[in-house]
Formats: sequence, C-alpha cells, structure tokens
Amino acid sequence: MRCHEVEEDLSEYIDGVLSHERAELVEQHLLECRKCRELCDSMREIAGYMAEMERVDPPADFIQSINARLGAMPSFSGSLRRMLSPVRVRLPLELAGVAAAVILIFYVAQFNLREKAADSPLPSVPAETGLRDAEEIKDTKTGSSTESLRKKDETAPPQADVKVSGSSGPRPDDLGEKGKVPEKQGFFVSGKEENTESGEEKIRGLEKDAVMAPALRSGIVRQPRRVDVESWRLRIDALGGKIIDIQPPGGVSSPDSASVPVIFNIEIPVKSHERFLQELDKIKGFEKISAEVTGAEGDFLKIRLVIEYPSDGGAVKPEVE
Amino acid sequence: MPVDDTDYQGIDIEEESKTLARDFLAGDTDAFNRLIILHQKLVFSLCLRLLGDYDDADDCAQEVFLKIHRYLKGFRFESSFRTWLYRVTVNTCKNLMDSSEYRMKRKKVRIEEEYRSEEEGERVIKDSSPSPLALLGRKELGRMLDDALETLPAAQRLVVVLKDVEGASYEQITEITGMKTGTVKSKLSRARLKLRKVIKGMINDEMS
Repeated sequence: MRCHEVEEDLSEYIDGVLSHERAELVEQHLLECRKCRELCDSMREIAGYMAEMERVDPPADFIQSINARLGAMPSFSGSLRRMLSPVRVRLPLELAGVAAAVILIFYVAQFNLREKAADSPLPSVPAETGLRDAEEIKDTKTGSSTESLRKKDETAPPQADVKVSGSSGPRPDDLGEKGKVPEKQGFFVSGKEENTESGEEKIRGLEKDAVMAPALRSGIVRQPRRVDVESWRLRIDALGGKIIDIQPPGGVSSPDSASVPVIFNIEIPVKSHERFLQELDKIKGFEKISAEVTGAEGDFLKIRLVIEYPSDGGAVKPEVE
Repeated sequence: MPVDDTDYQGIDIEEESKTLARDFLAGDTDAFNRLIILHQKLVFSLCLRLLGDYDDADDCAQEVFLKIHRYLKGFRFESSFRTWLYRVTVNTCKNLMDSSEYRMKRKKVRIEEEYRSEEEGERVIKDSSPSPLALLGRKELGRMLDDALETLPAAQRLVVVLKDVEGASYEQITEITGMKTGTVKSKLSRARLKLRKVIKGMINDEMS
C-alpha cells in the first residue's frame, strides 16, 4: 500500500469504519512508515481536541431577541377577521349623530323609492346601499320597516358603537359620505369552488374589487409601521408559495403620505389558499388590506396583496372610502 | 443522538425536549422559552462554527428558533428532536451562506486576508515538535481550532464539525445534511487532512 492510498483511508480508519481487510493493510503500512504514522497520530489528536471544543454562549439577550422577533412578526391576527366579521368602532357623539341622520335620510329616500317601484320584481332596497350593521342588513332583507332603524337612531348612546359588516355585505365605511356605495366585498378563490356559481362570483368579485378591510377608525393612536417583509416571506414560504415582488422594494415607504401601501405580488398553491386565508385572518395592525387574484398558473394562484397602514403616528380620524 | 442524550444533571435532553415541545403545542408559551434555554448553546455554537462570525451566528441562531416555533406542530414525535434541530440549524446556516449578502461579506474578508498574507509573505510549513497542541492553553487551542475550521470549504467544515465537534455518526450526518455516506466520508477525510495541515502551519507561525 502506498502513502497516498493510506492517506485517503486514514479518516475512516480512525473512525473504525474501514473494512477489515483495508484496515489491516493500513495498519501494516503504519508499522513501516513513520510519516504516515505521524499523520495518523496528529489527525487523531486534532479530532480528539475538536471533541473537547467548548460550546459558546449566545448573547445575553438572545431569548429576548427571539421573543421580540416573534412579537414583531406580522401577528396575522385580526385583519381578515375584521374583514369578515363585524368590527366595532367608537365614534364621537357628534359624528354618531351625523351618521344617524344620514342613515335616516338615506333610508327614507330608499323607502320612497321602494314605494314608487312597488311593481318591480326586484328587491326595493338593494344590499349595496350599505350604511347599516349586520342586523340592519338582515332587517332590510326580511322586510323590516325603517321604523325600527329610526327608533334605533333615536336611542343611540352618547358613544355610538357602529358595527362594520364583513365580506358578506356592505359596511358603513362610507358613513357620513352622503350615502356613497361602499367597496364590494370579495374573497379568496377556492380551487374547489371555481366551477361553482358562487366560486365564479367570487373570482369575478376579486378581479373587479379587492377584499377591503374596514377603514373606519376613530380615536386610535397609531405609530408608523413598516411591513416585516421577512416574516411575510417565511409565512408564504411555509405555505409553499413565494413572493414574486414587493412594491416598494423592502416594504418600506416614505412616511410622508397619509397612508402607505405596500404591495406584494405572490403565488400561492391552490391547495394552500385556505390556509393562507386563515393566516391572513390573523393579521393585525393594518389600516386596510386588499387581496386580488390576478391570475392562475398551473396549481398556483397569483395574488396581489395590498396592505395600507397609517404613517402619521397620530390619531387616525374616521375616514371614508 | 449526535451528542450525549443526558446532560451533566442527568436530564434526558431528548425526552425533555419532546416534553417541552408537547407543552408548547398544548398552549404553554413559556415551554418554548425553556426549549430555547435547553438548546441555545448547541444551536448558537453550531451556527458560529459553520458561519465563523458572531453576529451572523446570532441572527442565524435566532432564525433557527423562529423556525422551530413555526414548524414545531409539523414535527413527528417518533423521530429524534435533536436530529431535527440539527437539520433546521444546518439548513438555516446554508440558506444564509447561499445569500448574496453573505457571499459579498465573505468575499471581502477573503480579499483582505489574501492582501495580508501577501504582505507577510508565504509561510513555510515545517515539521513541528511532537504534540505541540498539548502545549497550548485551552482557550488558545480552541481559538486555533476555530480559525482552522474557517479555512475549510463550507461543506467540509459542516461535516467535520458535525463529526468531530458534535460527535454525530456517519448515519446522522447523512440524515442532517442530506449528503450520501460516500460524500460524507470523502469530505471528512479531506477536511481532516486540511485541518492538520493548517494547524501545523499555525503552530509553525507561533513558534517562528
């Protein structure tokens, strides 16, 4: 056996994983070759010292840093829930009064219209009119009169709680904006639902109008926020998706504008979109979030995610979309 | 297990890890902090030896625990927790090493080192006295071994750290790294030969 052959075998020989025959040949060579013997000894010695290498303590704030990063990750709670379920917003008394008046005027107008269109087979009060909470919508659909609404308005408490409906119907985001029709609510497209009527409706809804979170806020002190792009990336990676691009790059915008939109163009596997929905459901802290399916390629849905958050860091006035 | 299952206090670390993981999944958030405490030294040291930079190791080790936090619910409790932990750590380090930012940083360091070695001139590796490593103090020896590890290509460094520092078996290394056994053996052999050469050179430098 030659020295270079022994050199190649020494590592396995030291670990005792060399075949019996090969090990005997190495041993024979080591007895005869001082240079290879020294090489073997020093390799053993180094491996021995390596095994004694001490582990190193992480920085003292290691655990705190991890917990801070866990806390700083988009907590993914609330946003879609806000979109899909009623949200309570506290309004000052004056504003609540104005809102109540607008609702009343609007409904009286609608009531008159309905009377005029009595012969029409269509529902006299379209759902798109908005400006009411979920119960009110229900009332309208079941044909309750405006009387109950009027009564409700008259008995409004000094700090009126206004419920904002979710995606299933219009919300009073346009409260006080002279009966402006709110954004239509959409939803993520389910692969399973694509061929169903409701699925097609959802796709159409998403293509036309994004899923909008309520923008109505009052008296809430907010700090400027930046989007934790890395956390988003990790979340999306975990779902088998990927971020195609982010605008502005890095997810940080100038704080000069009143609202800073960050746009993620992402791809999510169709099979993961339900989970993505659930993740999105947990997002917190954004003023507005919208998601739009922009296309599909193979098993992937292309989604445009627009996140807006206030950047002034001060109290956010009730705003109207 | 790549390292001892039982620590000096007689705690079965594998069992303790799984208990904490189960507690965390059951809603005990403090259990996750205890899991970090149990493994932070292992993870941080491995990151440090693979990356060779304290700050990078800090970021990377934190990232490892964020991943553990995120993916723990997918962990199969019939498999080894620590092997999984090693795999997550190694993959996180690999991802960092593959990043362009990290490559740029390493490239800069290499250029600086090459510039310095040109200034100092080529060192001649001479035969040293028998077992000169034994003459070194523990800290000095540790520093020398760390410096020597840094000279190895990433894959060789990974294999030799897992085998000689962490005490993993060939089988465990293949499981952690995804390399074939033959690849592990050849990389380990090359790594050990190079380490021996580099350390010998360092000792000669110290003595000259």
